[in-house]
Amino acid sequence: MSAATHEKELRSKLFLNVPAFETGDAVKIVEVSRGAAFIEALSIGNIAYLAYFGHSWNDGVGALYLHGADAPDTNLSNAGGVNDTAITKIPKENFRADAQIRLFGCQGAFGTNSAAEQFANHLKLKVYGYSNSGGSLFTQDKTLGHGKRAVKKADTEFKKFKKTSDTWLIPINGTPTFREF
Amino acid sequence: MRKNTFDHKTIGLAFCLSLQMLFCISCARGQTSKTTRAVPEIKSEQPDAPTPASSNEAPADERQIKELVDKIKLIDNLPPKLSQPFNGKYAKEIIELGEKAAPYLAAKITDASNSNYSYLFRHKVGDVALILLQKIYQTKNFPFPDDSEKLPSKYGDYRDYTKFMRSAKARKRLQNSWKNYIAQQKQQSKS
Repeated sequence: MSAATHEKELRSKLFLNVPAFETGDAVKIVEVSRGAAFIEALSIGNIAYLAYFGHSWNDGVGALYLHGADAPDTNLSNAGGVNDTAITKIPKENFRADAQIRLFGCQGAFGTNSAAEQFANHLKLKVYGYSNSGGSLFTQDKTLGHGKRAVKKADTEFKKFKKTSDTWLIPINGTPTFREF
Repeated sequence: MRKNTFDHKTIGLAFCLSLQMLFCISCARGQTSKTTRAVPEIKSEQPDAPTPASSNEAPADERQIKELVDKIKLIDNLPPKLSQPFNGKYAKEIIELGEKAAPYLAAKITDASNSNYSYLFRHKVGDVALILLQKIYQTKNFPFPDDSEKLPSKYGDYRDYTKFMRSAKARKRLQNSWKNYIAQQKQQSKS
């Protein structure tokens, strides 16, 4: 739902500070659960903008968790663990020189050696991630989704989702804040 | 030259994974419903044997274990994947205790007071205890280790867990399942 909302906002230019969507641009939403599939999906090439909606964390060396299984190729990280596929394996040539990457998962740019920092160091592109600590939260509150206020306790309490409403994936602590690398 | 804007979605998959991953993937809370239900706060029970009647009489190590497990309410950092190391304060120490901590963790399962940990939803103390038990035992079945009960699958993601845990006596049934499992594991390790 968050990816669909983001696509909608890209097309209508409602999400700020990302490459402008122009008529004729192609937008693809792809679901992957392995590093190899992630890399393969990027082979479409000529990428101006990549947004990641999924699990991630930074416990010393940041990682994208593409799948919850304790299995090889389920994480994207330079941590070197048995389940990690290195971010350095992502081919640079699939991206345009001025491309941007934005990570919407937890702690994408939190602390040192975050996933965002690893992506930026390898691809030499602008990479953004949330610098907030803690986990993530889905919200259907547009003000919160766009980072215009801090998360309140009431936002973390159980509420029913409206299936047709826009949804945003944001940090659960504080005001959603992107950090640039 | 035409640009390709590539949007990468893993949300659907992430929701499914949470059921396998000890629900470190918290539920996302949606929009306001017209009515809200109060969640009763349930104090955690005392664990079963081997603790004696009075905690003042407990051996020092039992007391220390209990005191450490009582700190799960302070845990605010758990990775959202069971196979990753748990390096956060208190979580690491409790995990290192291993099965010694299990009875005390099982006692916490019925505690529906808010913990300090949130991942997509505010976890209760009992939810954090369950995460730590799953980390210690690496059980295949979630959340009932003996597979005595299964989560209804309405959403196919973590929302099935949070909805289930709000149902009557779910926490108690889950606690009983874990107590039985812990006892079985202890018996097997003796034989």
